[in-house]
Amino acid sequence: MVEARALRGLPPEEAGRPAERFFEALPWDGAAAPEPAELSAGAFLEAL
Amino acid sequence: MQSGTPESLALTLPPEVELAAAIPPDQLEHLSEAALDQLPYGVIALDLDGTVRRYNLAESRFARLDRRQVLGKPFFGVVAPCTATPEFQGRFKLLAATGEPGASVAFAYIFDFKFGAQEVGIELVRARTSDQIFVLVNRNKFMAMRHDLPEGFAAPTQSELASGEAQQGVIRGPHQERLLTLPAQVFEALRVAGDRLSPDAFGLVTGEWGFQWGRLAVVDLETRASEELDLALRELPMGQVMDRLAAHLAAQGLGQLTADFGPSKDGLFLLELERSALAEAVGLSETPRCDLLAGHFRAIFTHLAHKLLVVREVCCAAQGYDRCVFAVAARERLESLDTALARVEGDPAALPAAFREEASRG
Repeated sequence: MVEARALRGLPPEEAGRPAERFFEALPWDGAAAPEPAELSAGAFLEAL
Repeated sequence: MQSGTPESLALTLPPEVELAAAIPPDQLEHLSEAALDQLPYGVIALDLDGTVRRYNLAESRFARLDRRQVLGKPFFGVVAPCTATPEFQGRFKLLAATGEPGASVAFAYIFDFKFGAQEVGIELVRARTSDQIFVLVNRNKFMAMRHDLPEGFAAPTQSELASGEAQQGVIRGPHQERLLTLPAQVFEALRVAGDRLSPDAFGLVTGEWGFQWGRLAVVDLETRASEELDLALRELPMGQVMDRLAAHLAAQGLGQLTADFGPSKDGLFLLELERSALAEAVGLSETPRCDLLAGHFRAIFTHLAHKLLVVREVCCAAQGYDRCVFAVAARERLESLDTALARVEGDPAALPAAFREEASRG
């Protein structure tokens, strides 16, 4: 994976996510996203 | 309606006013030129004899033709000879002769240019209130130029339609967009004018100017992503999107952009701009001076996130800071952001915690 030069503060796997999915998952209301372990398997896979 | 046609593309977009609108094809005739220019797909309005009457920005970029050389010309005979076929012009003539207002026909086609071929989805829509037919063009795939074509079949280039432009003081970019090469003092002059006329309102005006500019820049960014990668920006990896955006700004001499998503768990992220051309042009200032770029970023990230966002300049190089920093948050949390900004007094590092506290109170 090529390191993004114009981006900081994200682990490489996050920087590699499509922008659409990234922004959908960003907690705009400040509510921290649940950890994967807190999600059901279906919801976890859906969120991938 | 076929999958991948402009209507289905438009309908994937949220309906909020400042997001790209979902426009049913038979409503396009009611849009202003500015609104047509903010659509991410090509729109051409033709008289029933095929004369070009409207030609939006996306089509201009994808076809690499300046609309000044296109408007008023025969579409099938001059602008796009590759469409003078039974499959395209034949359908157009049938719709012109027998189509009811609002009638439409959709089909797949290949546009042939001298810089490459494009697989497109076409929708022809008979206008309801005028004798015009709208041609909606959704680019599906970009290919190398086809060489086994009859003479004169591929669309002409900009320089063929308008020769000698370089001698007329016209500068063009890679998509034949007209460019200006201006000294950065233009921004200094603009700011001085704003300070003289209406210092309080000028930030609002330039912020909106930057927002509208950003919406047009989105069309350029999307055009390039489509051509180079056959993907929309939102489909690209986040890091790649930021690199493309940073390169876009740097190529215009506006400075070096970096996004810091470290605070994103609080619903906030920061954009850092080193060597802002706007900040450096205005000299020292007590207040941030990059309203134009804040508006520009608001348009671009609102497009990327499909969500209404706000952008505020936290600190500005014009105030003596080493760089300009902008905060991006959801519009519904604007009040919390503004209160937090007032508290941190230009310290971006303190902003996430202050924003979190203000939001929890709200």
